[in-house]
Amino acid sequence: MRGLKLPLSQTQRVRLQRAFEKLQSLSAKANSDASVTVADTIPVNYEDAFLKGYGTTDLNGELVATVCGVVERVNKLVYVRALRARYKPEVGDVVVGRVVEVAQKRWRLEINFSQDAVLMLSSMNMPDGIQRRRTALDELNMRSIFEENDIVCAEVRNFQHDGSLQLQARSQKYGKLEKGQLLIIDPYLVRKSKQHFHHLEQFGIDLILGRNGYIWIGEHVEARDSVVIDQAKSIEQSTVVEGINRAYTPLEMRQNICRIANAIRVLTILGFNIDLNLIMETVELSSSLKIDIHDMLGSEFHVLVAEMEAERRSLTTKRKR
Amino acid sequence: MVGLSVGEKHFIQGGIAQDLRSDGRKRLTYRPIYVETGVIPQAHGSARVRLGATDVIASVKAELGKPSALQPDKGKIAIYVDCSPTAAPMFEGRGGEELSTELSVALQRCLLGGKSGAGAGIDPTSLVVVEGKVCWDLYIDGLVISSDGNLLDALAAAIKAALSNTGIPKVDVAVETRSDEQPEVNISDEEFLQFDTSGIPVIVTLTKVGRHYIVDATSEEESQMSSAVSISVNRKGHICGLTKRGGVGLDPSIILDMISVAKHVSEQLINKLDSEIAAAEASEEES
Repeated sequence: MRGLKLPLSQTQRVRLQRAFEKLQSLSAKANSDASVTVADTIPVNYEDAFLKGYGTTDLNGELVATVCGVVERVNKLVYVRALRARYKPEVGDVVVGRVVEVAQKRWRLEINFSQDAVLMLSSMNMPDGIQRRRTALDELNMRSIFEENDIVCAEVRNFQHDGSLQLQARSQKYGKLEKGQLLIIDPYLVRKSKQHFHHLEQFGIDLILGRNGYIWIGEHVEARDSVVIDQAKSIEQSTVVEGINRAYTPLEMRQNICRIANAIRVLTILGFNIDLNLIMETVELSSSLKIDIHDMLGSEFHVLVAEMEAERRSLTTKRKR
Repeated sequence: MVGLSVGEKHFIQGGIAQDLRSDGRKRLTYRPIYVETGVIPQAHGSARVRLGATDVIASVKAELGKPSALQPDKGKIAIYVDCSPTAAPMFEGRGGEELSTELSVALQRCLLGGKSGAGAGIDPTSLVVVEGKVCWDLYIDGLVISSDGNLLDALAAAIKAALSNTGIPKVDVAVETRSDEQPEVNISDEEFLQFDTSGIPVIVTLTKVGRHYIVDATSEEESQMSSAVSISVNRKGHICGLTKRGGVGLDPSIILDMISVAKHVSEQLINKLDSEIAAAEASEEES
């Protein structure tokens, strides 16, 4: 159970164990020989020429895994994909990051990677929407776009020569994120899917699953014509911000945000992959059982979610057959 | 500690104002407390307390020593807290010293009472072996492994749990000794005396954010605080200590209000903590 830090009673422990065993038995048939731990031999046909990839090493003539993970084979390449690893970026990934520095013509973002990512000023749409060369004045006004500690959503553009990432935020859906909360989870739990931006209409909430493990849950913001509000409007808004009149998020929306956040927390503790369907099912389970938002973090709900997921997966495998 | 954007800060403040914090708690709800006892076998007593992501360990070691000349009928108790660099990079080297001293002093004030030892949560007269000659010196050490806010409450809970877990060895004193000689003592390896921890207070920290106070703030919420008051309350509902942190001044009526809120919260906390400690001791005996 990977050392779950939950105070479980005896019956809860038994139920959780059973649910995990059920899940293991469902997935084991697919790739039972594919998962390896350190020092396991990897089953390879030694007569064929093959390339040793990451996570493998040659020990006494045998191919042995050096990390715990899943064996992947691509043509002649054999490598072990580690499970608990730092975020491995790919071009086109949606990531959520926090600005740590405003530097010359760029922002540096922290994205749970070994290095900070760079968002160039030229990779951002300008407030007036015109495609033009960035002038010195634009550079001086960078802070009006993003400041330190702002949360920004962007896309991976390419890798720089030193291995760090370059991001771009040219589309309307990227940009600064406000009015919500950021959750940090392990990056391996967020799989690449077609959609990382989810607009939950029934709640009026935006859910962004960043592939680097940063998840943003916040009030829905309409895609703006320009990513940045233009100068006049921003001055007007900043004075309103200073005043106490700025409205807080309405209570009902806040409850939904908290419920979704707790659902994600429960799923990460149990180690399930985070995707929209699972989150919504967990949220529905909690509201149908009338579980209080804070009680979702209690041990009983964790056991219920594990059982629900085991049920769901056994039903889908039965349907497939 | 990671910074927060303006939008996030506003969201946190809004949550506190609307009585729904980021993880769904109400303003006066504690995070689930998880207690383990006997984590350090070489110490006479130890406990580990997890409060959300805050993780602290407390250990109690007892040594035989001489009581001070001013108070010959009392043993000595020392409390010291260390912030480990694993909690935050800034604690490396001497970075955590300021926080450690602040926590140690606050705990000493709450648990050890005044200079004369009056009003202490732990009764020092129970530590004396031979009056004026031999007494037990208790060294209580706290270690902060992971910090996510509300360290003081977690440390006080850990110390209470560690003291419940403490077994002071029984001491046999040789009867015939001259009055000016050090008596011979025989420390038993088998028999232990348990501490009576019902008188030990817990600490409730109330953090003021905006116009409301919250209990058990996470480090994000603590970054938004204007001031915090830590109140130590014992089972009878008496205040054993009070510490105020944070630069913003507070109206006296607010402090009195905070004290009554702390009293109310402490009842549930003491009961919860006692049941957790009992459960931890029970599971420790099983294993």
